[in-house]
Amino acid sequence: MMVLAAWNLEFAWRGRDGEIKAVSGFSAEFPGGVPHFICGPSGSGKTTLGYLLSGLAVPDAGSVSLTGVLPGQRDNIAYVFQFAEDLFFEDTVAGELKQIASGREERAHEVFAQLGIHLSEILAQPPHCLSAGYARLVAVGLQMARDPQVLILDEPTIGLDWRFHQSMAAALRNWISPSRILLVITHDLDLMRELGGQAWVVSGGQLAWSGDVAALLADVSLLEKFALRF
Amino acid sequence: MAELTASDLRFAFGQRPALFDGLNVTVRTGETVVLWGENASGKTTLLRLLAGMLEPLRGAVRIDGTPIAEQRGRVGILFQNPDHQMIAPTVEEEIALGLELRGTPPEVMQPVVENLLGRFGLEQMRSRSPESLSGGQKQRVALAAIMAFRPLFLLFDEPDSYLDAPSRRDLLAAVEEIRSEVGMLWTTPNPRRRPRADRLLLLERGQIRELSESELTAHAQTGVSA
Repeated sequence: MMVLAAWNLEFAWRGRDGEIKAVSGFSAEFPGGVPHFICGPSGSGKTTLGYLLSGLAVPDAGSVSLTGVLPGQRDNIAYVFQFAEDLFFEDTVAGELKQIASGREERAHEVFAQLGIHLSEILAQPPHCLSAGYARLVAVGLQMARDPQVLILDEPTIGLDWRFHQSMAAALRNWISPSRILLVITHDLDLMRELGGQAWVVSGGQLAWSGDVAALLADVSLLEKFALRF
Repeated sequence: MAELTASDLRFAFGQRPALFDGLNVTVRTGETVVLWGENASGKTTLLRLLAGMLEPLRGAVRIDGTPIAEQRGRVGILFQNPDHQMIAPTVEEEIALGLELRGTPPEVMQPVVENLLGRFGLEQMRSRSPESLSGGQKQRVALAAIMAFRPLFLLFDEPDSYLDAPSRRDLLAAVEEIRSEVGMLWTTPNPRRRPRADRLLLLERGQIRELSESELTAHAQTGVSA
Protein backbone atom coordinates (compact mmCIF):
# COMPACT_ATOMS: atom_id res chain seq x y z
CA MET A 1 0.00 0.00 0.00
CA MET A 2 1.08 3.49 -0.78
CA VAL A 3 1.73 5.77 2.18
CA LEU A 4 2.55 9.47 2.32
CA ALA A 5 4.42 10.08 5.55
CA ALA A 6 5.33 13.31 7.29
CA TRP A 7 7.87 13.30 10.07
CA ASN A 8 8.29 16.12 12.54
CA LEU A 9 7.65 18.93 10.06
CA GLU A 10 8.64 22.47 10.99
CA PHE A 11 7.99 25.50 8.85
CA ALA A 12 7.85 29.29 9.27
CA TRP A 13 6.85 31.96 6.75
CA ARG A 14 9.24 34.89 6.62
CA GLY A 15 7.93 38.28 5.47
CA ARG A 16 7.68 41.95 6.32
CA ASP A 17 5.88 41.14 9.56
CA GLY A 18 8.79 38.94 10.64
CA GLU A 19 8.72 35.19 11.07
CA ILE A 20 5.38 33.43 11.45
CA LYS A 21 5.54 29.84 12.61
CA ALA A 22 3.01 27.94 10.51
CA VAL A 23 3.73 24.26 11.18
CA SER A 24 5.37 22.74 14.23
CA GLY A 25 6.26 19.12 15.00
CA PHE A 26 3.70 17.66 12.61
CA SER A 27 3.95 13.92 12.02
CA ALA A 28 1.40 11.70 10.30
CA GLU A 29 0.99 8.77 7.94
CA PHE A 30 -1.58 8.98 5.15
CA PRO A 31 -2.22 5.58 3.56
CA GLY A 32 -4.11 5.18 0.29
CA GLY A 33 -7.61 3.73 0.11
CA VAL A 34 -9.31 6.11 2.55
CA PRO A 35 -9.84 9.85 2.26
CA HIS A 36 -7.90 12.06 4.64
CA PHE A 37 -9.25 15.40 5.80
CA ILE A 38 -7.04 18.12 7.20
CA CYS A 39 -9.21 20.54 9.12
CA GLY A 40 -8.95 23.22 11.78
CA PRO A 41 -9.50 26.93 12.34
CA SER A 42 -8.44 29.56 9.79
CA GLY A 43 -4.77 30.37 10.14
CA SER A 44 -3.99 27.02 11.80
CA GLY A 45 -1.48 26.01 9.13
CA LYS A 46 -3.61 23.69 7.00
CA THR A 47 -2.67 25.17 3.64
CA THR A 48 1.01 25.41 4.59
CA LEU A 49 0.86 21.76 5.57
CA GLY A 50 -0.58 21.01 2.13
CA TYR A 51 2.33 22.84 0.52
CA LEU A 52 4.81 20.83 2.60
CA LEU A 53 3.14 17.48 1.90
CA SER A 54 3.01 18.19 -1.84
CA GLY A 55 6.60 19.41 -2.02
CA LEU A 56 5.58 22.96 -2.99
CA ALA A 57 7.34 24.20 0.14
CA VAL A 58 10.44 22.74 1.73
CA PRO A 59 10.24 22.19 5.51
CA ASP A 60 12.71 23.99 7.77
CA ALA A 61 13.10 20.63 9.52
CA GLY A 62 11.60 17.15 9.22
CA SER A 63 10.77 15.26 6.06
CA VAL A 64 8.02 13.99 3.76
CA SER A 65 8.22 10.66 1.99
CA LEU A 66 6.05 8.61 -0.34
CA THR A 67 6.46 4.87 0.01
CA GLY A 68 4.96 1.94 -1.82
CA VAL A 69 5.37 3.39 -5.30
CA LEU A 70 5.61 0.55 -7.81
CA PRO A 71 8.59 0.48 -10.21
CA GLY A 72 7.79 2.32 -13.42
CA GLN A 73 5.02 4.40 -11.84
CA ARG A 74 5.45 8.12 -11.99
CA ASP A 75 6.04 9.64 -8.61
CA ASN A 76 3.46 12.35 -9.07
CA ILE A 77 1.62 14.53 -6.64
CA ALA A 78 -1.15 16.91 -7.72
CA TYR A 79 -2.15 19.94 -5.70
CA VAL A 80 -5.21 22.06 -6.37
CA PHE A 81 -4.99 25.48 -4.72
CA GLN A 82 -7.77 27.12 -2.78
CA PHE A 83 -8.10 29.72 -5.55
CA ALA A 84 -7.30 27.27 -8.33
CA GLU A 85 -9.12 29.39 -10.88
CA ASP A 86 -6.41 32.03 -10.52
CA LEU A 87 -3.92 29.56 -11.95
CA PHE A 88 -5.43 29.07 -15.38
CA PHE A 89 -3.02 30.22 -18.06
CA GLU A 90 -4.47 29.03 -21.35
CA ASP A 91 -7.05 30.75 -23.56
CA THR A 92 -9.48 27.84 -23.44
CA VAL A 93 -10.39 24.90 -21.24
CA ALA A 94 -9.10 22.70 -24.10
CA GLY A 95 -5.73 24.43 -23.74
CA GLU A 96 -5.70 23.72 -20.01
CA LEU A 97 -6.60 20.10 -20.68
CA LYS A 98 -3.70 19.81 -23.14
CA GLN A 99 -1.27 21.30 -20.62
CA ILE A 100 -2.42 19.36 -17.57
CA ALA A 101 -3.73 16.01 -18.80
CA SER A 102 -2.38 15.63 -22.33
CA GLY A 103 -3.19 12.20 -23.76
CA ARG A 104 -5.78 11.56 -21.07
CA GLU A 105 -8.75 13.19 -22.79
CA GLU A 106 -10.94 10.10 -22.48
CA ARG A 107 -10.26 9.89 -18.76
CA ALA A 108 -10.95 13.62 -18.46
CA HIS A 109 -14.39 13.22 -20.04
CA GLU A 110 -15.11 10.39 -17.60
CA VAL A 111 -14.03 12.39 -14.53
CA PHE A 112 -15.91 15.50 -15.63
CA ALA A 113 -19.06 13.45 -16.19
CA GLN A 114 -18.76 12.26 -12.59
CA LEU A 115 -18.39 15.89 -11.52
CA GLY A 116 -21.60 16.73 -13.36
CA ILE A 117 -20.02 18.64 -16.25
CA HIS A 118 -20.11 17.89 -19.96
CA LEU A 119 -16.49 18.63 -20.76
CA SER A 120 -17.15 18.91 -24.49
CA GLU A 121 -19.54 21.82 -23.84
CA ILE A 122 -16.91 23.95 -22.11
CA LEU A 123 -13.74 23.04 -24.03
CA ALA A 124 -13.87 26.18 -26.18
CA GLN A 125 -14.59 28.51 -23.26
CA PRO A 126 -11.94 30.77 -21.73
CA PRO A 127 -11.36 29.29 -18.25
CA HIS A 128 -11.17 32.72 -16.63
CA CYS A 129 -14.76 33.40 -17.80
CA LEU A 130 -16.15 30.39 -15.93
CA SER A 131 -18.10 31.12 -12.77
CA ALA A 132 -16.08 30.62 -9.58
CA GLY A 133 -17.81 27.34 -8.72
CA TYR A 134 -17.44 25.96 -12.22
CA ALA A 135 -13.79 27.02 -12.39
CA ARG A 136 -13.10 25.13 -9.19
CA LEU A 137 -14.72 21.99 -10.58
CA VAL A 138 -12.65 22.31 -13.75
CA ALA A 139 -9.41 22.77 -11.79
CA VAL A 140 -10.15 19.70 -9.66
CA GLY A 141 -11.34 17.64 -12.63
CA LEU A 142 -8.23 18.33 -14.68
CA GLN A 143 -5.96 17.15 -11.86
CA MET A 144 -8.12 14.08 -11.17
CA ALA A 145 -7.89 13.19 -14.87
CA ARG A 146 -4.11 12.93 -14.48
CA ASP A 147 -4.68 10.19 -11.90
CA PRO A 148 -1.77 11.27 -9.75
CA GLN A 149 -0.68 9.01 -6.92
CA VAL A 150 -1.33 11.75 -4.39
CA LEU A 151 -4.11 14.30 -4.85
CA ILE A 152 -4.22 17.21 -2.42
CA LEU A 153 -7.24 19.52 -2.67
CA ASP A 154 -7.46 22.79 -0.75
CA GLU A 155 -11.11 23.61 -0.01
CA PRO A 156 -12.50 21.98 -3.17
CA THR A 157 -16.19 22.42 -2.35
CA ILE A 158 -16.23 26.12 -1.53
CA GLY A 159 -18.84 27.99 -3.52
CA LEU A 160 -20.47 24.83 -4.92
CA ASP A 161 -24.22 24.51 -4.90
CA TRP A 162 -25.69 21.33 -3.43
CA ARG A 163 -25.94 19.57 -6.81
CA PHE A 164 -22.25 20.01 -7.61
CA HIS A 165 -21.36 19.33 -4.00
CA GLN A 166 -23.00 15.91 -4.35
CA SER A 167 -21.23 15.19 -7.63
CA MET A 168 -17.86 16.28 -6.22
CA ALA A 169 -18.34 13.89 -3.29
CA ALA A 170 -19.29 11.06 -5.65
CA ALA A 171 -16.33 11.73 -7.97
CA LEU A 172 -13.87 11.74 -5.06
CA ARG A 173 -15.40 8.55 -3.68
CA ASN A 174 -14.88 6.88 -7.06
CA TRP A 175 -11.35 8.18 -7.33
CA ILE A 176 -10.08 6.71 -4.07
CA SER A 177 -8.17 3.43 -4.27
CA PRO A 178 -5.38 1.71 -2.28
CA SER A 179 -2.88 2.96 -4.86
CA ARG A 180 -4.06 6.56 -4.61
CA ILE A 181 -3.86 8.94 -1.70
CA LEU A 182 -6.48 11.66 -1.30
CA LEU A 183 -5.95 14.55 1.11
CA VAL A 184 -8.61 17.23 1.40
CA ILE A 185 -8.04 20.46 3.32
CA THR A 186 -11.51 21.63 4.28
CA HIS A 187 -14.03 23.23 6.60
CA ASP A 188 -16.78 21.26 4.90
CA LEU A 189 -18.28 18.86 7.43
CA ASP A 190 -20.90 17.71 4.91
CA LEU A 191 -18.18 16.45 2.57
CA MET A 192 -16.47 14.69 5.47
CA ARG A 193 -19.76 13.11 6.48
CA GLU A 194 -20.37 11.93 2.89
CA LEU A 195 -16.94 10.37 2.40
CA GLY A 196 -15.90 9.26 5.88
CA GLY A 197 -12.25 8.38 6.40
CA GLN A 198 -9.59 9.89 8.61
CA ALA A 199 -9.60 13.39 10.13
CA TRP A 200 -6.46 15.31 11.06
CA VAL A 201 -7.25 18.42 13.08
CA VAL A 202 -4.57 21.09 13.02
CA SER A 203 -4.42 23.96 15.50
CA GLY A 204 -1.60 26.46 15.90
CA GLY A 205 0.46 24.56 13.33
CA GLN A 206 0.35 21.34 15.36
CA LEU A 207 -1.60 18.15 15.08
CA ALA A 208 -4.25 18.63 17.76
CA TRP A 209 -6.44 15.58 17.15
CA SER A 210 -6.64 12.68 14.72
CA GLY A 211 -9.10 9.86 14.32
CA ASP A 212 -12.12 8.62 12.48
CA VAL A 213 -14.20 11.29 10.74
CA ALA A 214 -17.38 9.87 12.31
CA ALA A 215 -15.88 10.24 15.79
CA LEU A 216 -14.97 13.87 15.14
CA LEU A 217 -18.39 14.72 13.74
CA ALA A 218 -20.11 13.11 16.72
CA ASP A 219 -18.12 15.16 19.24
CA VAL A 220 -19.73 18.59 19.48
CA SER A 221 -17.18 19.86 22.00
CA LEU A 222 -14.32 18.98 19.63
CA LEU A 223 -16.07 20.71 16.74
CA GLU A 224 -16.60 23.82 18.88
CA LYS A 225 -13.06 23.75 20.19
CA PHE A 226 -11.57 23.76 16.71
CA ALA A 227 -14.03 26.23 15.13
CA LEU A 228 -15.45 23.55 12.86
CA ARG A 229 -19.11 23.95 13.82
CA PHE A 230 -21.14 26.52 11.93
CA MET B 1 -34.13 56.37 0.76
CA ALA B 2 -32.24 55.63 -2.46
CA GLU B 3 -32.96 52.88 -4.98
CA LEU B 4 -30.50 50.88 -7.07
CA THR B 5 -32.49 49.60 -10.00
CA ALA B 6 -31.66 47.31 -12.89
CA SER B 7 -34.34 47.33 -15.55
CA ASP B 8 -34.78 45.08 -18.56
CA LEU B 9 -31.14 43.94 -18.52
CA ARG B 10 -29.80 41.86 -21.37
CA PHE B 11 -26.26 40.56 -21.14
CA ALA B 12 -24.15 37.92 -22.88
CA PHE B 13 -20.45 37.11 -22.92
CA GLY B 14 -19.27 37.45 -26.52
CA GLN B 15 -21.26 35.26 -28.87
CA ARG B 16 -22.55 33.00 -26.12
CA PRO B 17 -26.28 32.76 -25.36
CA ALA B 18 -27.71 35.60 -23.28
CA LEU B 19 -27.20 35.10 -19.55
CA PHE B 20 -29.96 37.63 -18.81
CA ASP B 21 -32.70 38.90 -21.07
CA GLY B 22 -35.21 41.23 -19.48
CA LEU B 23 -33.93 40.95 -15.90
CA ASN B 24 -35.23 43.41 -13.31
CA VAL B 25 -34.12 43.94 -9.72
CA THR B 26 -34.25 46.73 -7.15
CA VAL B 27 -32.38 47.20 -3.88
CA ARG B 28 -33.20 50.03 -1.48
CA THR B 29 -30.98 51.63 1.13
CA GLY B 30 -31.62 50.21 4.58
CA GLU B 31 -32.59 46.76 3.34
CA THR B 32 -30.60 43.53 3.10
CA VAL B 33 -31.43 41.33 0.15
CA VAL B 34 -30.11 37.79 -0.24
CA LEU B 35 -29.79 36.49 -3.79
CA TRP B 36 -29.54 32.74 -4.10
CA GLY B 37 -28.52 31.06 -7.34
CA GLU B 38 -26.86 27.83 -8.36
CA ASN B 39 -23.35 27.71 -9.82
CA ALA B 40 -23.05 29.50 -13.15
CA SER B 41 -26.48 31.11 -12.76
CA GLY B 42 -24.91 34.56 -13.28
CA LYS B 43 -24.70 35.92 -9.72
CA THR B 44 -21.24 37.44 -10.11
CA THR B 45 -22.06 38.85 -13.53
CA LEU B 46 -25.20 40.50 -12.17
CA LEU B 47 -23.25 42.12 -9.34
CA ARG B 48 -20.71 43.46 -11.83
CA LEU B 49 -23.50 44.92 -13.92
CA LEU B 50 -25.05 46.53 -10.83
CA ALA B 51 -21.66 48.01 -9.86
CA GLY B 52 -21.14 49.41 -13.35
CA MET B 53 -18.14 47.14 -13.99
CA LEU B 54 -19.91 45.60 -17.01
CA GLU B 55 -22.15 47.27 -19.57
CA PRO B 56 -25.47 45.60 -20.38
CA LEU B 57 -26.34 44.96 -24.02
CA ARG B 58 -29.77 46.40 -23.28
CA GLY B 59 -31.46 47.97 -20.31
CA ALA B 60 -29.92 50.14 -17.63
CA VAL B 61 -28.68 50.26 -14.05
CA ARG B 62 -29.57 53.45 -12.21
CA ILE B 63 -29.52 54.96 -8.75
CA ASP B 64 -32.63 57.09 -8.32
CA GLY B 65 -32.85 57.50 -12.06
CA THR B 66 -29.22 58.49 -12.64
CA PRO B 67 -27.11 56.06 -14.72
CA ILE B 68 -24.65 54.02 -12.65
CA ALA B 69 -21.75 55.19 -14.86
CA GLU B 70 -22.17 58.64 -13.32
CA GLN B 71 -22.04 57.45 -9.72
CA ARG B 72 -19.91 54.34 -9.45
CA GLY B 73 -18.49 55.38 -6.09
CA ARG B 74 -21.96 54.90 -4.61
CA VAL B 75 -21.84 51.12 -5.12
CA GLY B 76 -19.18 49.02 -3.38
CA ILE B 77 -18.48 45.39 -4.14
CA LEU B 78 -16.91 42.81 -1.84
CA PHE B 79 -15.43 39.93 -3.78
CA GLN B 80 -15.30 36.27 -2.85
CA ASN B 81 -11.54 36.46 -2.52
CA PRO B 82 -10.46 39.54 -0.54
CA ASP B 83 -6.94 39.22 -1.94
CA HIS B 84 -8.39 40.47 -5.22
CA GLN B 85 -9.00 43.91 -3.76
CA MET B 86 -6.02 44.55 -1.50
CA ILE B 87 -2.83 46.18 -2.64
CA ALA B 88 -1.55 48.44 0.16
CA PRO B 89 1.29 47.35 2.46
CA THR B 90 -0.64 47.90 5.71
CA VAL B 91 -4.23 47.69 6.91
CA GLU B 92 -4.32 51.41 7.65
CA GLU B 93 -3.01 52.32 4.20
CA GLU B 94 -5.45 49.92 2.56
CA ILE B 95 -8.39 51.70 4.17
CA ALA B 96 -6.96 55.11 3.23
CA LEU B 97 -5.96 54.18 -0.31
CA GLY B 98 -9.20 54.98 -2.11
CA LEU B 99 -9.56 58.36 -0.40
CA GLU B 100 -5.92 59.16 -1.07
CA LEU B 101 -6.28 58.38 -4.78
CA ARG B 102 -9.20 60.79 -4.88
CA GLY B 103 -6.97 63.52 -3.47
CA THR B 104 -8.69 63.71 -0.08
CA PRO B 105 -6.69 66.02 2.23
CA PRO B 106 -4.92 64.15 5.10
CA GLU B 107 -6.77 66.15 7.76
CA VAL B 108 -10.08 64.93 6.31
CA MET B 109 -8.89 61.41 5.56
CA GLN B 110 -7.28 60.54 8.91
CA PRO B 111 -10.40 60.86 11.11
CA VAL B 112 -12.34 58.73 8.58
CA VAL B 113 -9.67 56.03 8.69
CA GLU B 114 -9.48 56.13 12.52
CA ASN B 115 -13.24 55.81 12.75
CA LEU B 116 -13.31 52.81 10.40
CA LEU B 117 -10.41 51.09 12.19
CA GLY B 118 -12.44 51.39 15.39
CA ARG B 119 -15.80 50.40 13.95
CA PHE B 120 -14.45 47.25 12.33
CA GLY B 121 -12.17 46.25 15.23
CA LEU B 122 -8.97 46.73 13.27
CA GLU B 123 -6.95 49.07 15.53
CA GLN B 124 -4.67 46.31 16.81
CA MET B 125 -3.72 45.26 13.29
CA ARG B 126 -3.44 48.70 11.67
CA SER B 127 0.28 48.29 10.91
CA ARG B 128 0.09 44.70 9.75
CA SER B 129 0.28 43.58 6.17
CA PRO B 130 -3.19 42.56 4.90
CA GLU B 131 -1.50 39.44 3.51
CA SER B 132 -0.81 38.18 7.01
CA LEU B 133 -4.44 38.35 8.15
CA SER B 134 -7.01 35.57 8.32
CA GLY B 135 -9.82 35.42 5.75
CA GLY B 136 -12.35 37.03 8.09
CA GLN B 137 -9.96 39.81 9.04
CA LYS B 138 -9.22 40.48 5.37
CA GLN B 139 -12.92 40.74 4.58
CA ARG B 140 -13.34 43.22 7.43
CA VAL B 141 -10.46 45.32 6.05
CA ALA B 142 -11.99 45.18 2.55
CA LEU B 143 -15.36 46.22 3.98
CA ALA B 144 -13.81 49.12 5.91
CA ALA B 145 -11.94 50.26 2.78
CA ILE B 146 -15.21 50.27 0.82
CA MET B 147 -17.06 52.11 3.60
CA ALA B 148 -14.45 54.88 3.41
CA PHE B 149 -16.23 55.95 0.21
CA ARG B 150 -19.56 56.19 2.01
CA PRO B 151 -21.36 54.00 -0.55
CA LEU B 152 -25.13 53.83 -0.72
CA PHE B 153 -25.09 50.16 -1.75
CA LEU B 154 -22.90 47.18 -0.97
CA LEU B 155 -22.78 44.10 -3.15
CA PHE B 156 -21.41 40.92 -1.56
CA ASP B 157 -20.19 38.19 -3.91
CA GLU B 158 -20.32 35.06 -1.72
CA PRO B 159 -18.02 36.85 0.73
CA ASP B 160 -18.07 34.12 3.38
CA SER B 161 -17.10 31.25 1.08
CA TYR B 162 -13.60 30.89 2.41
CA LEU B 163 -14.28 31.67 6.03
CA ASP B 164 -14.33 29.31 8.97
CA ALA B 165 -17.07 29.58 11.59
CA PRO B 166 -15.54 32.34 13.79
CA SER B 167 -14.50 34.39 10.73
CA ARG B 168 -17.98 34.08 9.26
CA ARG B 169 -19.53 35.28 12.53
CA ASP B 170 -16.99 38.10 12.47
CA LEU B 171 -18.07 39.20 8.99
CA LEU B 172 -21.77 38.90 9.81
CA ALA B 173 -21.23 41.09 12.89
CA ALA B 174 -19.52 43.70 10.69
CA VAL B 175 -22.46 43.53 8.27
CA GLU B 176 -24.90 44.07 11.15
CA GLU B 177 -22.91 47.16 12.11
CA ILE B 178 -23.63 48.87 8.77
CA ARG B 179 -26.99 47.29 7.94
CA SER B 180 -29.08 50.41 8.40
CA GLU B 181 -26.73 52.73 6.50
CA VAL B 182 -26.65 51.03 3.10
CA GLY B 183 -28.64 48.75 0.82
CA MET B 184 -27.03 45.31 0.70
CA LEU B 185 -27.27 42.54 -1.86
CA TRP B 186 -25.61 39.30 -0.72
CA THR B 187 -25.22 36.39 -3.14
CA THR B 188 -24.84 32.77 -2.11
CA PRO B 189 -24.97 29.35 -3.78
CA ASN B 190 -26.10 27.89 -0.49
CA PRO B 191 -29.42 29.01 0.98
CA ARG B 192 -28.37 27.90 4.47
CA ARG B 193 -25.59 30.49 4.62
CA ARG B 194 -26.76 34.05 4.64
CA PRO B 195 -27.18 37.09 6.84
CA ARG B 196 -30.53 38.16 8.27
CA ALA B 197 -32.47 39.30 5.23
CA ASP B 198 -35.42 41.59 4.50
CA ARG B 199 -36.01 39.97 1.13
CA LEU B 200 -34.97 36.68 -0.50
CA LEU B 201 -34.44 36.38 -4.25
CA LEU B 202 -33.74 33.44 -6.53
CA LEU B 203 -31.73 33.87 -9.74
CA GLU B 204 -32.68 31.09 -12.10
CA ARG B 205 -32.44 30.81 -15.89
CA GLY B 206 -31.67 34.50 -16.27
CA GLN B 207 -34.64 35.73 -14.23
CA ILE B 208 -35.14 36.83 -10.65
CA ARG B 209 -38.10 35.99 -8.49
CA GLU B 210 -38.91 36.60 -4.85
CA LEU B 211 -38.91 33.65 -2.47
CA SER B 212 -40.61 33.32 0.86
CA GLU B 213 -38.70 32.05 3.90
CA SER B 214 -40.51 28.74 3.68
CA GLU B 215 -39.66 28.32 -0.02
CA LEU B 216 -36.02 29.03 0.69
CA THR B 217 -36.00 26.66 3.65
CA ALA B 218 -37.49 23.95 1.43
CA HIS B 219 -34.74 24.52 -1.13
CA ALA B 220 -32.09 24.47 1.59
CA GLN B 221 -33.27 21.11 2.80
CA THR B 222 -32.76 19.53 -0.59
CA GLY B 223 -29.04 20.22 -0.49
CA VAL B 224 -25.99 20.04 1.67
CA SER B 225 -23.82 22.96 2.57
CA ALA B 226 -20.73 23.78 0.55
